[in-house]
Amino acid sequence: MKCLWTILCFSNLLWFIFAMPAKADILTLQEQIDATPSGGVLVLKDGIYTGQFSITKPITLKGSKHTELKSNAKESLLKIENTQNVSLENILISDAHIGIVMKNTSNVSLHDVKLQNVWSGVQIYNSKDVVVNGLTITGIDGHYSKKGNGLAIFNSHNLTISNNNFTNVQDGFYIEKVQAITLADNTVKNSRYGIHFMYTDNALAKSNEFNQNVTGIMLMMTENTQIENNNVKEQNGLNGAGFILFEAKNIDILYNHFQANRTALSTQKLTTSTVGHNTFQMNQTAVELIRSNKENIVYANDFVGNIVNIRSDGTDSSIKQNYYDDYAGIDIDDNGIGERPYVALQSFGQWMVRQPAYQYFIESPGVVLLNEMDRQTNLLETEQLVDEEPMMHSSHKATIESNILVWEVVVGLIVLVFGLWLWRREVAI
Amino acid sequence: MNVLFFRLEWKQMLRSRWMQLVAILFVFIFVAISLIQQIGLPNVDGFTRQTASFLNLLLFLLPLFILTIGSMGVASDLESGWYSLLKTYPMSITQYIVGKYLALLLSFMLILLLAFSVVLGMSGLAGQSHLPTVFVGLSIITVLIFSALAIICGVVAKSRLHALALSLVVWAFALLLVSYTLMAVGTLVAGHILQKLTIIMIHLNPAEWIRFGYFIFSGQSSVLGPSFYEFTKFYNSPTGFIVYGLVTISWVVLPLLLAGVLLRRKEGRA
Repeated sequence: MKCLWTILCFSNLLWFIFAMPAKADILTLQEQIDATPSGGVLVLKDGIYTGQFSITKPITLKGSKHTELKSNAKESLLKIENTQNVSLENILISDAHIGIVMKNTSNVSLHDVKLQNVWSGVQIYNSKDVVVNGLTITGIDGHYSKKGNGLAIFNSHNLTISNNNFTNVQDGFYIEKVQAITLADNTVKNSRYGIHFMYTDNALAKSNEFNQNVTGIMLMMTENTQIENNNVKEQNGLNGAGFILFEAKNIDILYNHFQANRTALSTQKLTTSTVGHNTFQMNQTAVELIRSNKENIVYANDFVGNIVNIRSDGTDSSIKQNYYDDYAGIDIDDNGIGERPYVALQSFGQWMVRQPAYQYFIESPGVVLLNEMDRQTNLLETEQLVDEEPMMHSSHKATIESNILVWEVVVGLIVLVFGLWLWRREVAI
Repeated sequence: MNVLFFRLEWKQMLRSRWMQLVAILFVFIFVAISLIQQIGLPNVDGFTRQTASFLNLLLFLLPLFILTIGSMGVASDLESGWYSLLKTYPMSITQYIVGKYLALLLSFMLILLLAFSVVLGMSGLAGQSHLPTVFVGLSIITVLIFSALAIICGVVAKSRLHALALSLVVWAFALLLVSYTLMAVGTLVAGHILQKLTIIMIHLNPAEWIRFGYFIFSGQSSVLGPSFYEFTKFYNSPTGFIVYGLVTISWVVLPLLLAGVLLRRKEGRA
């Protein structure tokens, strides 16, 4: 009996040591952070670390394959404050209200950090020299007003934000009062705004992808910014727009591809800006100019398959050397430029800008005829939305895959033969 | 329903050279628009110029031919005395109207079948697009509604020429004049009044009703803009679908009932 009792106790002990699942959260992460010397590297083992944590000294925090940080608190899970040279790598943060908050930091980098089921991903305040790369954020379900932003940056400068992937957040990137920021190769889907610039100066947004958001880029009161090579598709909700530029100055919109958006590019009170070499393809309205001015240039763009190419509220910008697929002129001297100006002015387009209820009639049979009449009467227009040098050829090369769909051909043929047979049979006396 | 009369009408309709030309025209235009735009542009879901062209083609041509052919067929019966001859057989007014309606309906359904089968086959050859099922459904609704309107136009008309004129007036009103009037009114009234007038017009104008149906059933109601958010939200709900069905049925049944009443009155006067 005594022997049996000893064996039982020993086996229980063995089970405790080896069989019980490893629970990393019994180790305090904060204690490990505190114990790491400045400039040191803290490698976190696999496991779930629950709580709120703070970094206030230069360290590198590296996660392992299954390192997860969780928090039930209504605040931030991880704070990085009043420090520099901090690096976070390979960490999963889940179920937090706010994932990471950085305040008064410099030379901080985030690499391959994944946040899921968070109200807001990362917030950065008063920081400089920040690099964010490979951040993946999946927000919570629900209306945009119930969510926070993916990555929000306030009063900071010199930031590089690249290769990040956000879904289901309010604004993918919220940028306020920031100087010198580069946003490249990011993807934002199913959110309110892809990038939301406010009071920002000297920004670059390139090679990003915006898909099925309310608006791809919302840019307000911002200056000296380049937006180029972005892929902007299917912002086609009620108020959907590829880019909206409001009260902005010195903005270059170059080499972007806009496809199937409700309005591809809407500008309001835009000054000294350039819209060039973009492709506007199959949008409901390609370019909308509201309270625009002649210092803006819309040049060398391709307008293909849009319902309305350019519309305005009566104000205008300089429009030249664009390609319009509905241009009906000819090129006698073979210089690639049409001999007759292209007039984008449409009565209906202008009505729609002034009175949104007119949108019901877009491309209705009546409006199609009206547009045709406009085309004839507008030949004499010289003031508004006139391109004196329309291009004859598009610079955009459409690549459309074409494979014969056998079942469609066969079904079509069978139905056609049946229809003709039926007709012939009924006609026969 | 008098099956013999229906068979006779259906045969006469298909033998008509006009009908055969309409069939060729439809097939040609449907295929041309479909293929030219499919080859030129990628296949994108949504309200694009391609879908708008297709929708407008449907709304411009189909009602025009249905109204003219259908109304002239009825007016011709009344004018030539063929209807009086038919009345010597045991056939009621309802049977006459239903027979004429079904013959017209099925003739245009056959034309649509041919047109869409060629579009499907050619699309398969081009390897581009699938058959737009929403358009197939809307084409059927168009034929259902405008065939009924064609019958009433024919009953109201005093002669074939009158029927032709009446059909053109109805067509122009439905497709163009009502919209232009509303757009003109919109320049004078506030936006919310224009919005309400537009909603009324959608229900009272069969062409707009069909066009509105495209936006609802293709999931593109956001094309109509924020002004119509509540309105489209209702029609995107199950109740909305039922209401859409009921209004559509009303657009078929009421003109046919009215045609019966008017024909009886005409007979009474004669």
